[in-house]
Amino acid sequence: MTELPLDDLFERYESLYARTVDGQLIQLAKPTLADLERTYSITIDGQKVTVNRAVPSTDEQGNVLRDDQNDVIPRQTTIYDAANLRYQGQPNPIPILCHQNHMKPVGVCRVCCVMTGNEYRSGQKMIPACQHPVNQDNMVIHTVESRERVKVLGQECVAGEFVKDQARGLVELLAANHLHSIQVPSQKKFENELLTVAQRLKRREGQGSIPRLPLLLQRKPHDEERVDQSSEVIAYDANSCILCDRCVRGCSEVKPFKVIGHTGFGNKARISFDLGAPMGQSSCVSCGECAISCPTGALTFKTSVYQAPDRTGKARDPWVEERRSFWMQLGKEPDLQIVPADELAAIPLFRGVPYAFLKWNEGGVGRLRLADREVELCRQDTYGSTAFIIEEGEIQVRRDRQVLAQRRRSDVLLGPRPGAAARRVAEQDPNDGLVGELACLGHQPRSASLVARPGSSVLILKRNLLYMLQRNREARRILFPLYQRRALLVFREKGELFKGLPEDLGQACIDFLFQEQGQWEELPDAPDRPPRPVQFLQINPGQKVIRQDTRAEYFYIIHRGHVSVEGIDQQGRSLIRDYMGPLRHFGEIGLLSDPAVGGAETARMLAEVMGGPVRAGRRTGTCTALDHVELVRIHKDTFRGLLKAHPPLLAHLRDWAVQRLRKNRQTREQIGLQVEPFTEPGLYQGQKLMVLDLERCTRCQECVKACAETHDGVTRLVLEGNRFGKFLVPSACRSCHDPLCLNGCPVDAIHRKTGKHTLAIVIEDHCIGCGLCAHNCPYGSIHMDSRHARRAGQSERIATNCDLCESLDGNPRCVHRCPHDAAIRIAGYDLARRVGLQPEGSAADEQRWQEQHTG
Amino acid sequence: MLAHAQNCLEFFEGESCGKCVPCRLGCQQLVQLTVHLRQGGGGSPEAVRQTVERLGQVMELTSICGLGRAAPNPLLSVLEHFPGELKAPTRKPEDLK
Repeated sequence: MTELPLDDLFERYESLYARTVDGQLIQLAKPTLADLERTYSITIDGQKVTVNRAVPSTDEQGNVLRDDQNDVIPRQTTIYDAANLRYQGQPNPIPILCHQNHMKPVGVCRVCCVMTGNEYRSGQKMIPACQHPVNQDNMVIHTVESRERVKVLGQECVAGEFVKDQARGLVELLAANHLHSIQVPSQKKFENELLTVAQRLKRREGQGSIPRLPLLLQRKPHDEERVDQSSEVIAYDANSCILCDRCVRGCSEVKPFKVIGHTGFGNKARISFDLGAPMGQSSCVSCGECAISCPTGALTFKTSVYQAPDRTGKARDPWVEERRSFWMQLGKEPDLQIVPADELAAIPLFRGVPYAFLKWNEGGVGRLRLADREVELCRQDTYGSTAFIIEEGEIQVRRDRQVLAQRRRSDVLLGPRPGAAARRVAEQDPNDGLVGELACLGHQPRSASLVARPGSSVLILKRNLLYMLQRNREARRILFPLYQRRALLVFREKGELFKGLPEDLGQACIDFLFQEQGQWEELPDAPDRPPRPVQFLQINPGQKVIRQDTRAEYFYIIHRGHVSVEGIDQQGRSLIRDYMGPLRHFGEIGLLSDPAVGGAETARMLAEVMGGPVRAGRRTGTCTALDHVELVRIHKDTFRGLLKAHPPLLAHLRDWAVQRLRKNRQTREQIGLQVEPFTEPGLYQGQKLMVLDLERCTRCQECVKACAETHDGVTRLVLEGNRFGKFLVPSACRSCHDPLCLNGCPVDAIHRKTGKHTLAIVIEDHCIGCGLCAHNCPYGSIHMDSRHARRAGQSERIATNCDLCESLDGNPRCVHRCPHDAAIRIAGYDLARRVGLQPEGSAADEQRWQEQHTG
Repeated sequence: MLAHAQNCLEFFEGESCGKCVPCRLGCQQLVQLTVHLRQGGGGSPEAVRQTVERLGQVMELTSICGLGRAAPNPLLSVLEHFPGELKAPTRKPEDLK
């Protein structure tokens, strides 16, 4: 045995090692990629489960996180994850208070503690399931549901009862200190999870009462001094706060504000705003995330978004535009009612959305009932921020007056009809039921008109509700297969791949993919699962989709967002070759250069064009997401099957790949690095870039004055920004293809103006001033304005941006007023052309723009 | 002995960091109970014993660190070694502070 220096010993035995539940020393190591495949076999409540050692880590919207090498970032599988697998199809029995699926676990409430092993000896302790990793083979776990018999301090008992006893003890402690009143059902504002857990764990007692305390616990009285009413939007009652940390994580992990933290320790510990300021005087922006996260109602909304009075002092109607539009069509007032939060909470699709959010946004869902006439819900080629769920009757999808499809109610979304026998879920097509979500979430113009038929009843949803749904695991399970199908259908319709091919071929290809796609799944739940043939993915900005020189495994279709293609040439220079937008595809070159996929002939042809040593089946470039990208990914084997079944597609793709490679070579020789100044500052995003020709501009500031005069004396145009050739691109809203500012608005106040060919992003009056859109805008185009007097129930600031105000000649005022014709509004591709640059992507952009805006 | 236990428990209450529920709230309740016992309230010896043992078990099993796990020990050892210190309550709960 070799002797180690003492320091070394400490290093090894104190920092890198930890003890397992059995007290054995083990090494603590970060989970690796290999752990995603490797498994542990453990026993939960007497049933064996095989779980992966690690699972991909996800962001707050459930999207998989990747590092800059495009590898999934693994995180260790927790016992709670494993219990999800053990109780598949049933609710997880482990009670939780401080844990939520979209947050990092902290393990402070301890009610999720489980027993490990079949014997509990003095000195052992229980471990929190939400946080503790599955780090050993043959672990034995007992949750509150376990019926196994175990030994506790020498006495035999039922494991579940023992575990439940401890959780109950904790809940009793919490209830004695923090449960002060029970909400009156008619004034319910939030779901009290502490009460729910307490009632689940307690011994038989009457429903709806505060659990009796069998212990001699002192109930803490409610102290009015500890209630903070200083914020206009949110009330904070420290008496009810159980210090679960959910608001803290919501404020700094889910949202980027980092206002809420902790101060004090022991029984003086509390959450605090900016280290102890009253909420209303802190830097809190009232985004509402904390009140949505709070399990006990310590943070509650004072009023709902649409109840807060507008400038004239009246309550707002969330559906003004829709009401007007339907009124004009029907010739009388439409039957459009607000759906109450309680009704929504009972719908399967909304299960898991925090009640506080539904209540806060009460009015964000409306129900339209039609009697004897049909109504056009939305029109083809217009922008919109609503989606529709069919309750009764049907919706016709029409393009150019032709009926494309009929959609009906789906029980998967809404649950079985009251009174009707529940149909088996598998019998129904889950793609029915929800329409219009594509334009709503993808920020694209409507691809078809939607017409509700007489006698139907339709739920109209605002975008923020749909966005919140995606955070919820159960709702994603319902929505994502639907998105996948829609994405494929849109690709068939407009995709670049099928241009110039007979229509029935595109149809046949998509049908092939529909057949192959199999069951949709979110994360690899069980090990030893073959790769999914077709998968819908959401990728965050900056993440790499494919990496140069890695093995080609998938073919990709872009549904939303932009991807840049970068290649390292033989001199080791990194060149951005191109960028690609929606409805384009990539990844075919790497796949086709593998003789096993496209045949030897194809591989040979590609090798010829590429020149130099060819590495079959390897990626020729790196693709990085420039913004929020949605992709459909098709596995190599499925792709091969597709090409085999449809030889004309193979020939078409081969020509395409050859063309692309030739173009690559040209790009490399001609423009090289020039695309970068175009993609880097996001100019490709612009549909209405404010551009100043600096050779004409005399710096007279007339454009700024015009802007200020139009917008209550505060200019929204700041003459600062990037130079591009002889042009200055100031920070005015550029009406992006993919407006990042729209993501996550908690009250859906910011959206694309409705109407045909409109580009303006408008911010409505019910903006709560949280500043998330200004934070999200990479180009600094949204300004937070605090100079206007605000009404009660709202924060003091409001977001403003360029609304493309129209002057007499149709141009925005800034352009109209310029005496030297220096100010112009042009699209990104146009700007690229004016400085003598024509990346491939800009040509495609131009075509798309023409299609969309000159109908 | 109860005074001594109270001293120890107040130490633990003061040192608790407040992160996990069993330690933060458990220490508070134990101190409260001891104060009440010394004032001649609290509950029947049997109820006190049940409460302390139950709370002690919860704290020992579920606390994150050793402080919370050790905190109930002073009162537990009073119960074990000086059961005579526990007397039937002489005052009503509402008279206690």
